[in-house]
Amino acid sequence: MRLASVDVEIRGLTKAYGSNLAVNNLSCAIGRGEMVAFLGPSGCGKTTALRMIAGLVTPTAGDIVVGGRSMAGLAVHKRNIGMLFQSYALFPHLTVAQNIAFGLQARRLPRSEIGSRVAEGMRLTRLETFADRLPSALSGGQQQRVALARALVIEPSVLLLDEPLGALDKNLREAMQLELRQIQQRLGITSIIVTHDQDEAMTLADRIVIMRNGCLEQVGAPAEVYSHPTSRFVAEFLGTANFLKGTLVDRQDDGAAVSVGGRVVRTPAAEAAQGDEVTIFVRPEDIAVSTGGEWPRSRDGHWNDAPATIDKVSFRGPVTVIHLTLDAGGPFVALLKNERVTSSAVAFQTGDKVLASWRASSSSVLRGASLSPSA
Amino acid sequence: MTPPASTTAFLATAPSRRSLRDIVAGGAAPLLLLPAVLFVTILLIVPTLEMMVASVQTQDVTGTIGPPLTARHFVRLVDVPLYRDVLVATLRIAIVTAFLSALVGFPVAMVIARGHPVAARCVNVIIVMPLVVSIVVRAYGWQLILANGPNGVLNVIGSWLGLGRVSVRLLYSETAVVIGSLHVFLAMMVLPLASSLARIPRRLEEAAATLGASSLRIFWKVILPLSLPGLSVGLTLVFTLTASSFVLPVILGGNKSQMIGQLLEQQATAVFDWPFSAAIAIVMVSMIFGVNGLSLWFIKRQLSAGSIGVGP
Repeated sequence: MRLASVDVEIRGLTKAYGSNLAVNNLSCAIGRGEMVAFLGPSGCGKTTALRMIAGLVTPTAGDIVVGGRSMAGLAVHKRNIGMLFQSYALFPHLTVAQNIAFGLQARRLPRSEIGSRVAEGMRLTRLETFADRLPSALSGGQQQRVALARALVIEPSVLLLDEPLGALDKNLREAMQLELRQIQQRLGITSIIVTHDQDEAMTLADRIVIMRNGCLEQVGAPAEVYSHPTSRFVAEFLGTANFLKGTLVDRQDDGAAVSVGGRVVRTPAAEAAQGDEVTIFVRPEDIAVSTGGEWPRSRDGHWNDAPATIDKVSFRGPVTVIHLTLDAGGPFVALLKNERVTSSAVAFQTGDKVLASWRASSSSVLRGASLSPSA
Repeated sequence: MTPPASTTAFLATAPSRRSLRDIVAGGAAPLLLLPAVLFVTILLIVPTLEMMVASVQTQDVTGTIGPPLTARHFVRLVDVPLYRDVLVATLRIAIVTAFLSALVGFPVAMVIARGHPVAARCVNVIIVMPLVVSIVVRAYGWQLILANGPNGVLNVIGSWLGLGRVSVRLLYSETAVVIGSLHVFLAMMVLPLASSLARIPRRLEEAAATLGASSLRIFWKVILPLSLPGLSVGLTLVFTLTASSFVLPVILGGNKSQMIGQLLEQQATAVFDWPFSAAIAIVMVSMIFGVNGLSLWFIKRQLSAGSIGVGP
């Protein structure tokens, strides 16, 4: 994705606590109006990075440039930043309207402008009827909407969201994700959201920055990082992943061949050299399971067929999850969509001998046989 | 539903525990309270009532207290300039001490609530320590420090600094009483305030800062309002203890700064005017109750208006 114009630039951002590097040389650029998610397991440094952008944590090294202006040494309250916290951090002694007005009063805006901006903020977040309520009289979702309005009315140069929906239950969280995304896109505000939930990151963000142990692991659009992870860590963090270890035996411009336990598996072009140990990666939904007699999908392009035995079949509503063991070794997971029209697809049973098949182009090759063990 | 056999057996083998509970749950509760009730009735409620009755009665030349009923003791307390001054001085000293304790106590409470754990622990110990020393000892300690002669600690320091042999004359003044009370009662301000401050989530200050509020603004608009419950408790405690104190004004105030406690002691044990003493005691207690009531009302109003302390 090409960035229209860079709005936030992070250069070599580092934070050390003693000898422990919470954030290690993080660099990335965020375009104007873009929403980027910092994604990673807890302790990966994503929150520390966000707090450094806000100015709540002082970086050990590196710089943050927002709208062409360096934030180095600038106090939190002078950065013009909107921030949402997981705990909402609403002022319990102030009403909804007073909470939203807080940042405007700090800027000493004229009373009439404060009034109109607060009204605008409450309209945007559908809080008009709650103006005189105290935060304690609101639900979690409503409280976070107040926090959002409070952060937006100051017209911040960047909106920072620290696990903003983490305290909400699943249904409300999904509804809030959509609402948050709509508001963010309508206002075109540059945003960074920190989350450990890959679904949330993929739902909300234009691009995802995947972090691990303080380091940037991979950056890209959700579909890109999901389908083409560059490491086993990213592949596993973003969803269920199947891996096959093997040796690269043939390498061409349009594809490669990998020997897995004596069988040749075709893959897309790989960056590894012939003879290298590699790991093939396939998503469960890209795997077709069949008895071999009739193919459930059209088979254009190169297909790999691996004989396997079914260990377990679990029905999950829209999908059926099939756990397999490949004859070539290793567990495999396949995800079959449950379509009523072709209900015969789920007629498999534990112990069945089947073929697990996938299109060569839907797999990817990760360098190294044991590239970054799963975290 | 019948209980399983094992439960029944258990109940049968544990009769004593059940019966004790039955005694308490049944009609025995008043019986258990009786010693305490008797104690409080005989030694507190009856004497208080007697005192209230005495305050509106007349004492004749023989010292007998009896009718006619009169309100003149109360009138006298407010009407005679000498006594009125004592009332006003008491209020003034107590209010000034409470106010100063808030001023001095706030930064200390901040360190306890927000400072480095080691610093917080040290300050906490320093604040609480004086409470284990007798108030009389502490008052005499201040007497040594504030003494008006050339041997007073402050004056010795003053002469080292070249301020002359006797640079300060603080002892036996209202100021000395305020200084002493401030030291003795500071913990009563700091402890509730620190616990109130510790309950304010850090995220609130961070949120306020990202919204553009300077440290000063965060203090006035976030920390101070949210610390009101602790602050009010502290102010009430310090005010109450200072207004009703006797030892400190006697040792540090001398005769110059008479407080209501001293007046009461004089009237009761030297002058033997017990109806007047009773009136003084009643005014003293009602004054303190009044201030406490006001403070509680204020906290309640703030709590209902702002649900302080109920953070997400």
